[in-house]
Amino acid sequence: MNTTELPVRPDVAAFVARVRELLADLPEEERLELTEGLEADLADQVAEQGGGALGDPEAYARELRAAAGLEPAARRRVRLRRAMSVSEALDDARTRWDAVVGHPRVAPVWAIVAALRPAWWVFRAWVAAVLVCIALPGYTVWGFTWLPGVSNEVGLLVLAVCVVGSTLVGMGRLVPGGDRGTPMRIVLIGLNLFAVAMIPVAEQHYQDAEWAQTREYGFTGTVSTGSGVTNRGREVCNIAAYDAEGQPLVGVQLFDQAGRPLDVRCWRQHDRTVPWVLGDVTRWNVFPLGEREQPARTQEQREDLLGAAFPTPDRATTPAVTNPLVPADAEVRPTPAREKDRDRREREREGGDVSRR
Amino acid sequence: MDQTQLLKGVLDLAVLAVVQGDDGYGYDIVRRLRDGGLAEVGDASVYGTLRRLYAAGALTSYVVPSESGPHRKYYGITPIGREQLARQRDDWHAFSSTLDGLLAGPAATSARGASA
Repeated sequence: MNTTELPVRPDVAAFVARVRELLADLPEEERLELTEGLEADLADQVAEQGGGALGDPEAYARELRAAAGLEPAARRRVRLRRAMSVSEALDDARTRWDAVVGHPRVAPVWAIVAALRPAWWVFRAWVAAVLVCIALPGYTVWGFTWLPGVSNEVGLLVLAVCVVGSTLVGMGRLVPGGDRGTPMRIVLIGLNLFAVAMIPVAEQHYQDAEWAQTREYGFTGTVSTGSGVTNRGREVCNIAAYDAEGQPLVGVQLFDQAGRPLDVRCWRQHDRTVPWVLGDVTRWNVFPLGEREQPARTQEQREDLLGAAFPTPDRATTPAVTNPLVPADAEVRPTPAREKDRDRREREREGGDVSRR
Repeated sequence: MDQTQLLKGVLDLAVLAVVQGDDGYGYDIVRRLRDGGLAEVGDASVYGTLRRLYAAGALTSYVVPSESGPHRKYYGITPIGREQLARQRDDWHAFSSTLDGLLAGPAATSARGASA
């Protein structure tokens, strides 16, 4: 347009610029057709009639539009222009964003973030699944499974459906993902923002469920699964046993209520403690376990028992205890065989107690 | 009667008439119309009309760079424009004679009305 070699009078230039602005809703080509050469025409007119020849640019643009046969569409065009400006704003934001992440310093980081997009799809699916589960009738916080408040099966099903849906949307195979129309783009942005906003809500319900489980069972599902015996929330690494008279015992074999050897296991238990053996089989349910001064990481180090010893019990004896099931005459030293039996029964009970706590 | 109201229906015809002999740029055409007696014609109306006739294929346009200022956009008539001109000229003649007849009639009517 500006092939002018001499500047147009500033008042004419401003007038034409304003008129172009008022025709901004028209397609670029049409606007160009309508205003091309306008500077020259108006400059002539001003030269002939003086600066007063330029009137109100709005009236001028209206007249131009009407004469060009565009007025009937004017109202519709205004609405169209709003819709276009929203989509243009989205395109604009997208372009700016692309420019930012395309910056040489940002691009490598952004490539990693972009590769993690599926993780976001899964995560937002989880958020959606939690919301679905909250909305399901009969929601109660009763423990962590796949999702708070519902059974494992329902939780898994809801989660699977949400993950598949979220991924399809992410891949653009499912509305509003694939539709590039303005309303669907807005819906998609809105849903993502909603998911972000709902993260604290989902997190809170997750926490509630975990707490509910902790209160109910005394331990959390995540801790109880792999490790051995937990006592008041802390792992049991070794056991100091005393008999009814309060004397420390060595070589106590413990089994749970089902007859399974008590599985006492701490972090790096095998490095730090010396097990009992039955023939060439190590037994970890016999207490106390010997403890090493230095962790033994290799088989050679484990064979070296230097510095390993039974731990000193935290007390030399404990008060003697009684139980109504044990007759008073049991105080009299029983035969070795019966003692063994009784001890075994007691130890089983004891073992069960420990593991249940 | 306000000339602009009358012009609305016939501005196409007037514009085609003034470019049929010679191509012209926007303000040049405005000037020809005003010199021809359409003193009240708005330049924006003329430019819009030129654009509409161009879009309809009745006019062709070309840009002539100017040594001394902004370039000018010239318009010339096309065969389609000539056809339109001829058709609308006939329409106008028919319309104006109809209107002349009406204008002659109502005079008598109003005279009768006055005598009644």
